[in-house]
This record gives sequence, C-alpha cells and structure tokens, in this order.
Amino acid sequence: MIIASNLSKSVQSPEGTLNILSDINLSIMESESLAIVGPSGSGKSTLLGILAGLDTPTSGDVVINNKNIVSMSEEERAKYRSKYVGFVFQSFHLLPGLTAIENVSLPLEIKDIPNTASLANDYLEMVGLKNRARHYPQQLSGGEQQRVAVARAFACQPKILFADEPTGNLDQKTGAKLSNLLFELNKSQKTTLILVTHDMRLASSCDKTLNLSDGKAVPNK
Amino acid sequence: MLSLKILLRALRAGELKTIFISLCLSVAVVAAVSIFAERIEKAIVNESKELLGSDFIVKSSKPIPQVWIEYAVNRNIDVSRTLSFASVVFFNENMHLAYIKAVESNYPLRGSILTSQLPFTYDVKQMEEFTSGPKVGEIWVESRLLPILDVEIGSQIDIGESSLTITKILIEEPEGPSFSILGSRILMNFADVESTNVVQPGSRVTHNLLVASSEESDINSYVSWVTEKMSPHDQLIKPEEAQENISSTIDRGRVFLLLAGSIGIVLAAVALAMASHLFATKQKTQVALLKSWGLTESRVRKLYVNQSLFLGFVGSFIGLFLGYIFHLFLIDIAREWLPTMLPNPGLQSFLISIFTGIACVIGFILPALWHLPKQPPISILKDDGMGQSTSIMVRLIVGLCVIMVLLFLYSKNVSITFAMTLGVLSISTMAALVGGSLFSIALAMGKSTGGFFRIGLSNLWRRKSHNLIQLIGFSSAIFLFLVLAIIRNSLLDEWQLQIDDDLPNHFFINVNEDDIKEIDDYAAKSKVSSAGWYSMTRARITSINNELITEDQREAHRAYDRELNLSWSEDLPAGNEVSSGSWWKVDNTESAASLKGDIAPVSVEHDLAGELGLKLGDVITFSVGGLSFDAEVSNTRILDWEKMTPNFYFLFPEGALEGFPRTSMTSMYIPIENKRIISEILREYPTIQVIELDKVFETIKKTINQVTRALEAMTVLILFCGIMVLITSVHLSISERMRESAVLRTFGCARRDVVVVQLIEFLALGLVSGLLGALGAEIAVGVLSSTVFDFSFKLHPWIWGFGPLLGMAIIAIFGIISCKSAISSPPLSTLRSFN
Repeated sequence: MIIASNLSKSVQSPEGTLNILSDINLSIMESESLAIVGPSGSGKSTLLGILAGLDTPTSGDVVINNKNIVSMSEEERAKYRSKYVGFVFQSFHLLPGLTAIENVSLPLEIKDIPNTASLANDYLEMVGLKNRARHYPQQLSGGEQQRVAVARAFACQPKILFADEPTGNLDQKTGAKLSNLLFELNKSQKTTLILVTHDMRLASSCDKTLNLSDGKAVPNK
Repeated sequence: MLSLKILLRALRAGELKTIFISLCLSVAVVAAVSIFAERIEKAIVNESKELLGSDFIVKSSKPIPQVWIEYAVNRNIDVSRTLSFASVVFFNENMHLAYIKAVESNYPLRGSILTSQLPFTYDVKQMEEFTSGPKVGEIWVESRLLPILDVEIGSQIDIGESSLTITKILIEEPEGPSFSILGSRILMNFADVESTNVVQPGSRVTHNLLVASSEESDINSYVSWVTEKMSPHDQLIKPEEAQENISSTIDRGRVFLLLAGSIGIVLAAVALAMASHLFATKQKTQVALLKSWGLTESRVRKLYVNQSLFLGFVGSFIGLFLGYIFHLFLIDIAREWLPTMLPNPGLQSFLISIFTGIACVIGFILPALWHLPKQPPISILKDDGMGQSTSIMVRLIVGLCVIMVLLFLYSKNVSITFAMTLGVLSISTMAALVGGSLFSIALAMGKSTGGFFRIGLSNLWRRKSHNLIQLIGFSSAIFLFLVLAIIRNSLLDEWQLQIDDDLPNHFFINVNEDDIKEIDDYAAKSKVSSAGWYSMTRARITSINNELITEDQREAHRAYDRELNLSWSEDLPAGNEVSSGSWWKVDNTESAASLKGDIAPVSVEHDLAGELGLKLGDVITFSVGGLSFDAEVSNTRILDWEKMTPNFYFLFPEGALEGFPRTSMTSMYIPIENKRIISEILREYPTIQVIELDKVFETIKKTINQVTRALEAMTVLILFCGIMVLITSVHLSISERMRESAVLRTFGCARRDVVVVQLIEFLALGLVSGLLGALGAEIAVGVLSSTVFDFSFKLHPWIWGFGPLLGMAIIAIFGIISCKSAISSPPLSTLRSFN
C-alpha cells in the first residue's frame, strides 16, 4: 500500500520560489492502478519521481508498506527501488549498444538475479518479441522498443511499476496495443501500476485517476 | 564481473572506441620510442666500448698499481695493460720518432685490430681483423713508416736495444691515438718493452689499464672502487667519450625522438581526455537508469573505476604490443646504421609503458567520469536534473599534472617537460581568455553579415563550452605539429651543413712550405683541390704569468705537456664566437708590426681556457724551438667542432708569429676513388701526416640519414595521434550538429547550405586554433631552442600563416567528413534517432 500525504515540492528560480507540487494526498492499494493526468508542466513527472523514490519532496511523506521513503537516505531509497520498483519511460531509454535481450537482462544482472538470459527471453516472448531478441534498438520500431522496455520492467517482477507517458511516443494503434499489454501483465503479475499520461483512454483503464493542475490535485471532470 | 560484462558490451557497441584507441596509442608511442631509444643507446655504448677496446680505461702517467689489477682479477674482471710512449726507431741510417703502443696478449678486451699485408691499402678485402696484438718479437706498423725508414714487411727495425720484426701493416686499433700525434704508430708486445730498455724511470709514458666484464654490476663496483683510489695523475675514460664526433648527432636525434614521443603522449592524452568527456556525456542516461533500478552511488563508482582500470590494463598491454611492433619498424628503417646485434631492451621501458596506460586512466579517464555516480536518478525523467560534470579547470590541472609526470618520466628532461607543459598551459589559458572573446566577436560579426555566416558564426557562441574544449584540442594538436615541424626543420638544416658532399674529408698537416706547390700539383692531377693553406707554428707553453709550468701541471693537462699548434688570423674565423673579451682590430697602417716585440694578444679556445684556468689579461710564455715569446689573453672563442674545418686553440693577429719556424696545413675533399693520391703524397713526403676523416664523415652522414628517417617515421606516428585528436574533437559536438542539420533541412535548407553553415563554423574554429597553436609553438620552441637543442632564438613568422591555414584546412576536411552522414541522411531518421 502506498500513501502519500501533504506532498509539496518547490524550487528556487530567478523569479522566486516556484511551487511545482502543493499538498498532494493519495493512497493506492496493492495491485491497483493509478493514472496521474494533467496538462504539461502540471507536476505529473515530479510526483511520479517522488513516489518512485527518484526524488524527494520539499515536505510531506510517502509511505510504502509502512516505511516512509522520504526519511530514508539515498542509499536506502536505492535499495527500495531495487526491491520494489520498475519503470517504463516515454522515450524508452533502451541502451543503444545492447541487443533487446541484453537490455532486458541488464537490470536483472544488476540485481544479481540468476538465469538472467532465460528469464529475459521469457519476458520478450510475453511481449511478442522473442524473434527480435538479438536486434539492437535502432533496428526496432518505436512500438517494439517500448515493448522491450515493458519486458525489461516486468522481468524484475517489481511490486510497483511506474510508467511515464508509456504511449506518448507511439501512434494511437500501437499505443493501444501497448496499454493492453501493460494492463495484462499488471493483472497477471499483480503489480501496482502508477502511470503518468495525457491519454485519457489509457487513464480510464486505471482503477483511480489523479488530476493535476499547476501542481495541485483537482477534482476529476 | 558485471563491470567487465558492461565494459565488453560498451566496447562492442563502439562507445569506447576512441578512448581505447587513444589509450593504446599513447602507450604505443611511449613503448616504441622508449624501447627503440633504450636499445640504440645500449648499442652505441657497446660500439663505443669496441672503440675503447674495453668497458672503460684507467689512464695514468704512473704505472698502474698491481693491487688494482689483482682486485679486478679476483672478481673475474678482465684487465689488459697498454703502454704508450714516443721513441726513435732506426733502420740502418734512417730514423723516425714514432708513437709506440705496447699491448698485452689479451688486448683488446672489446673490438678488434684492423691490419693488412699491403701498405697504403684502402681495399677492405685486403684487410684482416685480429682480436689480439703482435706476438713477442713482432711489431705492426703504420704504412707511412715503410717509406720513412725504407723498410718492408719482414724487415727488422731497432727500438732501443731491441730489434723487432714488422709482420703486419697497422690500419686501425681500439683507443687509437689523438690527431696531435705526428709520429707513425707502432704496435708491439708488452713483453718486449723491457728488452728495448727505452722506458726508464722518469720517461714520459702513458699507462692504460683496460677493464671489461660481462657483468655490468661488477664494472660499476670496480669503477667506484678504483675512483676512490685514483690520484690526480689518473684519469677514467668512459665509453661515452669514445665517439664524440657522432655523439652530438645521435644525442640530438635521440632528444628529438623523445620530444616527438612526448608530443605523441600529449596528443594522445588530449585525445583521451576529450574522448572520455564525450563518453561521460553519453553515459549520463545510463547512470540515471542504473540508479533508478536501485544501483547505489558507490556501486556505480566501483563499476566505472573497475571498467577504467580494466580498460587501462588491457589498453596498456595492447599498446605495448603495438609499440613493440612499431619499434621493430623503426629499427628496420635505421637498420643499416645500427649494429647487427642490438642489445635487448630492459624491463624499464616496458614498465614505463604500462605505467603510462594506468596514469592516463587516472589522469584523463577517471576525472572525466568522476561526476557520473552523482548523477541524480530523477534525471531519467527530467532533463533539468542532469548532474554537473567535474569542472574543466580541475580536470585541466589533474591532466596537466599527469602529463608533466609522464613527460618527465619518459624524457627525463626537465626542459622538454617544461616546454611542453608551458605550451599546453598557455594554449589552454589563451583559449579560455581569448576564445570566449573571439566567439563573442564571431557572434557580432555574424549578426552584421547575416545569412549563413550568421548561423555559422553564432553557432560558435551557442556551443561555447563544447567549442572551448574543441578549441583546446585543436590548438594543442596544431601547436604540437608546429613544434615538431620547426625543430625537425632546424635539425635537418643544421645536419645538412654537416653532410654536404664536398666538405673537406682529409687534413694534411706538418707540410713544409716548400712542398705546398707540389702537393697542390699532385692534387690537381687527380682533380682534387685544397681548401686553402693555413700556416702554423708549433710551440710549448713554458710559463703562465711568469710562473713556470710544474711537473704536476704537465701531468694534469696534456696542453702543458705537448707542442701546440698556433696560428694567426686577422678576422674572427667563420664558425667561431667570441665568448669573452673582444676580437682585435688591426689598423692596416700599424699592421702587425705594432704587435711584434711587445706582448702579442692571443685568442684562446673557450673550454681550454677554462681547463687551464686562463683569464683575460693572463700572460702566457710560449717556446718555439727554444725561442720564447709572451702573449696576453685578449679574448676567448667558442669553436664549432662539428663543421670539420681547421680549428685552432690559440690564434694570434696576422704577422705576430712571423720569424718563427712554421709548417702548413690544408684540408681537401678526396673521394674514395681518388684515395690513392694520399699514398702517393705520403710515399713522397713521409713527414706529412694525413688525418683521414672520410670514415668519420661517412658514419656521420649515414647516422644523420638514418636518424632523419627514424624521425620521419616517428612524425608519421605523431601525425596519426594528431588526427585522432582532431577527429575526437569533431565528434564532441557531432550529435548536436546532426540534430541542427536535420532541423535546418526540415525547414527547407538545401544540403549545400547546411554544409556551408558547418564549414563556416569549422573554418572559424580552425583559424582561432591555428593562431593559438602558433602562439604555443613559439613559446615551446623558444624554451627548447635555448635549453635542449642549442639553436639561436628566433621567431617563426611562417607558422602564423601556416598554423591557421593548416587548422582551417584539416578541421574543415575532417569536420565535414564526420558530419557527412548527418548531412546526407533523411532529416526525419536523424531526428528520430535522438528520441
């Protein structure tokens, strides 16, 4: 269970203090899915980063499984990410020098998970790219690259998956296919899914939606 | 293991290609030059030992103490005694004051004696090499003794109370005599000395103890032991002193090689620093990704340190291997000039090479990557979270320190280290100070010109920080090229003077004035001409400032113990330089008469004056065949010994020595096919001594040619390093350029227009780099000229034109080639590749 309470984030700018997030509260149960929506610059990615333990808020708490990750040291937060978290990014972030299977294997190798190759192969099969395992990212289409990224995220069997605009770089058809895949895997692996999106269709597939505007939570329309 | 896996993948993906090549190249340059230089140096020492007949000689005016010999023998060190003295030799009515050397049966300990059965032969086929001297009762004599005494091989001649048989003609032996010996050389057995009874207590004799051992440590310990026991009568002669005529050429060649190697190191280091910077820029996303997966900062750091060290070791070993191959190539080029058997290199060169690789990792790769582990994981979601890299200033200081350590370790030459560091430092400072301003000027110029110029020139300003690093890289490469070119040209110009084909290669001394015309006729018949005749008078120094020369002084310096050649000249001879006092100006009306009777001024060679402790105003008393006259030291001169023209230790004004007996000397260029005229002249005038410098000249010529070729090969390697730097520099901004080109083309710019924009930026960068490079080169060459190469200081205006032109041409060519794919591929695919 994830509970975020009174989350605020502000930074100093030449024009004075800039509030990126103000007093955000949310809770999400295990296996639930949450969509964070809102216009560009509303603080969606900042909130995602704080919930994932990639960044810290100026004030407020994020409690995951009864542990406040805000009060943890950076080393402890790294351990938390390693144990619980997986990511899918808008621009895929596949390493260009690695093949599809190596990209999927890399986080497994880092986490010292055994049989990385066969595990990576299994997940590539799940996303329908077993026959493209030896291909490099530049040899794959955008949709295929994002499927590799999804395979990479699920291969580590994270408890919580954070997705930042997972369909943002894909056309509508490919985006729809990818969101289906995301929810299928989410369901089968009982992963908690938190995603940031502009795509309202994708957001409507989630159990909950948090609408942000100028860093504040606003009621859903 | 994970580090290794990631490293191997990065290598396979080509991300580390430039770093790896630069690393291998820097190690290869160091390895090639240090192994080559070490082997050559060892070979020269060995060759010198052959010329010396031993590893070193103890020379003394007193008999060598028995205990010195026993000490050596007890330690299995080989020793051999020689005894040199002048003595009159007789055959019937004929007599001659000969220079005799008595040698023990194991003489020489190194090298060999060259003999013949035919007098005056220059045919190598007629010559025979021996590794031991004449047997008891036999002597080997110089060709010219035969006509002087009217004898032939097999004749018995008298030396003191003994009659010895001539069995061979002596051509060349180790530790040969100096040119000042006028008597014919005779080699006899040491055991015969006693029966001749010519060496009596008080006789003027030179005792030499030749020492050799296969173990260098034994030699070193014996040298230190014997040095402690030596008195002022004794002198140690080391191999370095045996080949003075070519040592300067080889030494300068070696220093140039080290300089070229140092330039290679700096170039490779600059390439490595830039390649690492580029690599680090590309690694930011990967680090953020790794950290988002939970890899801690310390693990990320460990990952990169492990990778860098692994890369360092592998790169060093590969570089070492490549360097070894390249050194074989250098040896192959210089093969003719080198001895057949080159000594093996020691461990030192290999260790220096490996150390270079590791030092490069510490100095250039790690500082560039150091900030990476601090990359915040949030930067994977937001670009504004990108971490700051270690400041350029800190990296520059660390890099310069490592360059200094490497340069010194490698060249062992403070001046080279200082000059190179100063050059790089001044370029970096000027790039930072002037570069920024120049970019602003470019921006302003661009605004006033408009069109493509505006885009091209304002790009310089926009990419200021990248361009600054590029500017340092480009100007360092151009600076180092220019230094190499200037020093190389100066060396070659100077050497060329030494190897002019018609330089005199034979000196004829002790010629009677009456014989000059006939000798000139002989020469003319063979189409050989003398380079003018110089008169000289032979005199001894009998006192200085009215104090008689003591026996101790005589033993301490040969100049007190033998006849010296005095000559005269109205003008300062070409190649001479007054080091103290002033050259005399003889008024024509007063002429030399004013110098006669009174104390004549004398000009003394600079080094000799120092050795004898002569100061301006000191009065030297000379004795010419019993007639004495005084001379006052009015100036000292530095001579150019490498020019091989007649040089005199003591020079007087014209006419000052008139009335004293004189002989003449000349020099001639005699080609090998005309060498028979020497034997003809010597048969006719046996008292003349001919100094044959053709072999020395041939050696110098060959050495210079080979050293030059080795330098050219080295220059090619350095050129390769320089091109590496340029390519790496261009690659620093390639992705930005690709993106920009794609955007411009999307907006409808023609391919040609995009090329023009890039070209303008590259040309402007090349121009600034060329100017900075020229500045650095003037500074470094100024330091090197005065401290290392002994060239006179001068500015080089041509580099101020050539440097910028070179910069513009090379940077534009490589820049456009590197950007070719960005310019020619469809803009959409380029833009997509950045998403």
